[in-house]
Amino acid sequence: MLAPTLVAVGIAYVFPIFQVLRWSLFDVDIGGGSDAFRGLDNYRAIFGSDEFWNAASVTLRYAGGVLFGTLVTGLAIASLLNQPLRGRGIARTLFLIPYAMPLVVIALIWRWMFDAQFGVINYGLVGTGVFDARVPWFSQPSTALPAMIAIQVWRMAPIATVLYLAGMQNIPHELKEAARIDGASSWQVFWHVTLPGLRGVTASLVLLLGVYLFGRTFEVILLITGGGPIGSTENLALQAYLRAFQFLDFGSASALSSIILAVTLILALAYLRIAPKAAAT
Amino acid sequence: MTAGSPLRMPRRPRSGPVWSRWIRGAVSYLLLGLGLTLAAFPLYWLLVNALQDPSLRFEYPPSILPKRPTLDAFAGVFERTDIAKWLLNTTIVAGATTGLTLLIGSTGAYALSRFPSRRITVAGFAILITQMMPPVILMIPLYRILLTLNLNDSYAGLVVANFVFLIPVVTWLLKSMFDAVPRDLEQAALVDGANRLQVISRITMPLALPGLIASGVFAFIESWQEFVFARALIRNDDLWVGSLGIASFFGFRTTPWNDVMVAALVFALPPLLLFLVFQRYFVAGLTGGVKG
Repeated sequence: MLAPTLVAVGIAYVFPIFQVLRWSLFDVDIGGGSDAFRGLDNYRAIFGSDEFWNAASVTLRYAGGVLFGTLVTGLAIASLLNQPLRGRGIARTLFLIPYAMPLVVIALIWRWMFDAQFGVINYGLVGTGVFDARVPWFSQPSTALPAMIAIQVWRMAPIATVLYLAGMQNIPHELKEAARIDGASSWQVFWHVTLPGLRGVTASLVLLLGVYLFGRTFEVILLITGGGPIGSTENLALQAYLRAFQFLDFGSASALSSIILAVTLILALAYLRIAPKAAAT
Repeated sequence: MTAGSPLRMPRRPRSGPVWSRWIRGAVSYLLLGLGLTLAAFPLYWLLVNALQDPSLRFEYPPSILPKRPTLDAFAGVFERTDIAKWLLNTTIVAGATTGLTLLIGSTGAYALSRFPSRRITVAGFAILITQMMPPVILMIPLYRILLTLNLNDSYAGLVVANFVFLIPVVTWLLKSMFDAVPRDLEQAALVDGANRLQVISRITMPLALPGLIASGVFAFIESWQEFVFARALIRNDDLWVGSLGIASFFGFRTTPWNDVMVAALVFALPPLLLFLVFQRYFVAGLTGGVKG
């Protein structure tokens, strides 16, 4: 029937997982030689390595920063777009641009904008007096990750905006009217009526974006800093990639990938317990 | 508002005196403008740099408006870089991926939608899990499979890789679309004697078309910009897709900078245009899925 196609596709995912789990226990020889069994050595090596814990810290800060920035920005823009302003149709379209641009192009242009010597961002910051000197964004650990976070927020805000806008339009007018009649200010209406109504959207966003940010996104980082000055932008996903394709240690990469998958799974399950609204999607 | 009510209450301004509303309106416009600038500026900057005379590249401070604009790069980029080849390759790969994904995804999605079983919740959760996996998990086994099939370093290999990557989400999107098409319509037709295939082609598909378009656009955009698999699988220069080509410009080596910018612009244009044209469907699909 129609379902078998689905089953065939499922194999494309199930099989790799088991393959990777198996590999994580070996010292994989991609040259075609025999793999040497190492048991849990790969895992022990990872947990004992500084790189892993550094990457874990980076991942948490990165995911947290991007999530916060994206949600706040998305909420703010959606609030603006929810008002009957003129030209908001065009505005809504323009706000979606960041999502439609290819990753490599995003990396290219943002790298240039953040350039220490010639970048327009430094030009603006120094010109308006916010900073005294041009910031070497990607050369120092303290600014590399924030810059990456900014780029990703820019890229993901459209999704949050679209979802929040739809959510806002779903909130019954009568509720807001009732609050206003009772004398609530606009801010109070927002805080006590709109925001709670958007809880479901927020829950979904945190789950979907969080999962994505935790284990999957690393292309832009790979292209711009390759892990950043002293690993300050190396998140777990990037490290897994580097272990596999730079150090050619597939066993270690598999082990790390399994860890990432397991942690993401646990976090997602825990989250679904706390916020069942996210499960509605 | 009840139509035809004899007595229309005049609408009081809801939030204070007129001047306060005026200020709020102005602030809103201001903030909106600011937000728009931030959202669109990178694209604008791309354009400015593309038009700029290459000798001005290392000028500081950079000028917001193009100083000595020249269209030279737009003409020359096709000679001086391989952008044309990359565009062709990317179109082939993205197009094939989209077609394949829609075809198989819609059959699976239709099955999930019309023949409900416990499989659905399992499938939904499984899809979420697939999105949790670092791409590396998928890549290495896939690479080995393609290697044995001698498909690595070929269009087909990349298409398969992209397809595998996209199929869970696309199936999920399509299932939501199909869910939105009322079963009663199909049932009525079936009762009237139409067979399942006719029902699907005459009734379901036209109604699900917006969703199909949205999913197709999504699949196209994602496979257009796909980078990691391409880098792992493609060695042959002739098969480079756009993302690999643009990535080769990192390090600002010898290619004239405005050429680089034009190449990036040209590469970014198709998905941007597609998105802008079809964004209505896309947004509807996205929000429809969340509402469930």
